[in-house]
Amino acid sequence: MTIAEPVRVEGARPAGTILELRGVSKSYGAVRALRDVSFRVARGEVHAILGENGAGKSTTLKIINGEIEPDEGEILLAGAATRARDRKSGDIAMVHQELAVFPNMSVAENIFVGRMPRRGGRIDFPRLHARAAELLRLFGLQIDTREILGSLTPGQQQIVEILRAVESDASLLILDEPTSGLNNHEAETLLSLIQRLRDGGHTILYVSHRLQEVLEIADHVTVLRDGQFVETLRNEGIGEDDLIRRMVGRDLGPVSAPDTAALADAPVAFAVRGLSMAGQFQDMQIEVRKGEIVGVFGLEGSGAEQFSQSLFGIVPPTSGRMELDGRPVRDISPSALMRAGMAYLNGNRKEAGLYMERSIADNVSAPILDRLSRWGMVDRRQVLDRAREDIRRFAVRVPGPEGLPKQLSGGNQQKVMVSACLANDPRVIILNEPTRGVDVGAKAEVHDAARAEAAQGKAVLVFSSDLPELLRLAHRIVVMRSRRLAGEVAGQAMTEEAVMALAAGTR
Amino acid sequence: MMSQQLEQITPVRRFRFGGARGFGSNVLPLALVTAAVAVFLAATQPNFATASNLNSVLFGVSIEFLAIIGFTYVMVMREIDLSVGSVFALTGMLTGTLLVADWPFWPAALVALGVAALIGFINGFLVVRFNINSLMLTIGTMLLVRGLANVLANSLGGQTYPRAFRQFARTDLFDIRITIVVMVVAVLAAWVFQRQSALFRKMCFIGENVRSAVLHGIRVGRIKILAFVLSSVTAGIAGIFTASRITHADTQMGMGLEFVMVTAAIIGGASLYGGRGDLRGSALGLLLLALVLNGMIMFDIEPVFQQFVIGALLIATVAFDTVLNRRAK
Ligand SMILES: Nc1ncnc2c1ncn2[C@@H]1O[C@H](COP(=O)(O)OP(=O)(O)OP(=O)(O)O)[C@@H](O)[C@H]1O
Ligand SMILES: [Mg+2]
Repeated sequence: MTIAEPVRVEGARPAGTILELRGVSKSYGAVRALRDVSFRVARGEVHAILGENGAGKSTTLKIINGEIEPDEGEILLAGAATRARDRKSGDIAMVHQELAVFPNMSVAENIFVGRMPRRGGRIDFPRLHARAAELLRLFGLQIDTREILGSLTPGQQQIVEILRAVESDASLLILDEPTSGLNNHEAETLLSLIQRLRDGGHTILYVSHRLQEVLEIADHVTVLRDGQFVETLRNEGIGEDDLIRRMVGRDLGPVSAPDTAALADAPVAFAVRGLSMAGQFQDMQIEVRKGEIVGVFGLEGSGAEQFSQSLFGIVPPTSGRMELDGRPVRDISPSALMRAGMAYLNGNRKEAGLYMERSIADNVSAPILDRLSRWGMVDRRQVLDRAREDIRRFAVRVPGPEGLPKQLSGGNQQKVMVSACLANDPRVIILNEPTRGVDVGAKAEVHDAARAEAAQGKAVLVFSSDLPELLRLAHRIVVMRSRRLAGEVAGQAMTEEAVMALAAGTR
Repeated sequence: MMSQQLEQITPVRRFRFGGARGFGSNVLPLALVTAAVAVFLAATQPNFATASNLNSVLFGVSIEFLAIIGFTYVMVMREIDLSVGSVFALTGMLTGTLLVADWPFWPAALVALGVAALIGFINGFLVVRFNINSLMLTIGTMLLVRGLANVLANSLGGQTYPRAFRQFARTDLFDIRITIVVMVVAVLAAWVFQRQSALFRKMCFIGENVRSAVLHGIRVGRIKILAFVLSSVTAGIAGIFTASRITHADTQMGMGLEFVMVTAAIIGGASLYGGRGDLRGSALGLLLLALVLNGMIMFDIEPVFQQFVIGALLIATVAFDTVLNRRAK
């Protein structure tokens, strides 16, 4: 089918149940990921699955996709019981929460893997690349389709993976947090694409922690809690609060408005003066006071990402100065800045920030090994104690400090990464996408943690593409546009419209 | 939610996930295999379990062991140092050359080790500064240093080293060859180092995900350069002992040593994909290889087959390592 020009097939939404789960259970050792889950999905609908981190959403989807075998229960497709093997090779396509791409192959090959268009027995490369380029343009991406996938940004790779599923034309499409790596514009594009796919007769299973998205596109919402089925709701007249209550089992308290009065006199903890990097951003100025949370917002290409990286010396700036507590920083490198009291949370945990095959205890102690050691020898008891404390503080769903991040659900991995970031008791904290892939409850916890750090007199700088998050968290928001500072909003003027106007340059 | 989740995790808190990577791997199975091979040889070959044979096998292993110390820790960081064999030869021959030129022993050895350290530094510096693939880079250094070593060997001709130096490797401590004592001490030290030290953990973090290590303020460049220097210096020390043992310059010295090292290190728990490695395991790996070769000699298998066996073991271990790594992903 063509996605660029959708054809509405007459009567393309046949009624009936395409998928049914009956009494599905799955355990990993002592962890019961799913318990007796049953629900149905109607043909031709967008069906969202919601739940907290670790509720079992990804496990459910992987079972449906035939990647893992349930311990109990059966999965019916169009009324007939199926085996995992058949589902795996069948009419189902899935976009995984963790990227599952081929980094050494070209963009086009990744989209068409296993289904290369052929002509006279040979792969039709011109058509391959033309079609790939057409698909990418849907997302406004002008990438050379011959480029190696590994050289793309994680967000772009995510789009490629989505396009692969879309292009497979499977009648059941499974998307596990597809928007978590995308910016707002790309996420909107994806949502409209999903709507078109549904109109074309496809069924879509959709997982996301962005409740607005879910309410916008889903026909039905199935809620899981602690591995158990809670309810399937019709998306009619329900709001975010209804969903949260079912996911969490309680109401979340309202957020208190930040008190900015006392901040004006606080000393400046972190200052950036005239920082530039050739071709990336120019002449950036920022001052963050003790106790202040400053948001930085910029659309894709605004230079905000590069700016954030150079603040921590990952890619050092070419000119300009930085000051910590009024003293100029001489050595702009991660290790020196860290010793000077700075911490950095990477925006993409798949790429860096964790050690997937090391225990949680190792992960959260990595930035502070020297502090936990005497004469170069690590105090192992202290490492474990700290890890237990962090697990408790962030309610990480893991049996103990010996667990591995790769066995955790995405949101819990994020919590481990945040713990590691805050471990060295920094005075200046740079957070990138702090709540990517984190559920509503945990999001509130991460926000609380950031506020608590600020309340202790730390300076916090938050880079996020999630504008509502910034509006809720930050005392003021600095906006970047075309690789420069575009302006700043604070107090009453801090609204979504005002920030977007600055970011898009309509003001 | 917090109290609710705590309740859930408390009962299984002690539960351990299988396959968690510790710092230092499980050497027990390897020790058992090695012991089994030794028992087999002892049972089938009367010449095997003699004091002189065991002594000479152990002596050989203990010298190679010196060279694998730094090599193992380079591998932990997902790098490799294929120049060890050449540096081993150059350092040994340079020491010998200086001694032939009537230098006293210690200045000669220290100058030679200084040269080795410099080579290690250059390796490490280039890898860190220009992000060069260490496999390719150290193949380059391997050839280059081998060339230098051959120049020394030619200039020495067939001359034997001074008598005092020929006796050096035979130095005994507590009636045992000093290198064997050093090996035992180093293995014990490595055990503590790998279990407790912050540095070894940092090396593992670097090997597993270097970008994460950078974000966590670990001084990746410094540690890598240090490991390359260590690798060259330990290879150099082994080279000095070997030069003393073989008593004259030989262009074949240290040929193929790097492949023995890779094989032994991987058998011992290191991985081409980084993040792991264990000096105790490396030592056992060397011992196992030495026993296998020793056994082949006892069974009168042609010496040319030795190369074949090392090659086959290298392929087998690397394949095994790759499969294991893929499964972990
Ligand atoms: N390979 C594994 N080994 C052990 N436990 C696992 C494994 N995979 C998942 N789990 C556990 O199963 C539970 C459900 O995980 P799942 O990934 O399905 O959660 P999720 O709902 O997708 O969460 P998130 O929103 O964070 O992605 C979690 O407690 C997780 O720790
Ligand atoms: Mg998930």
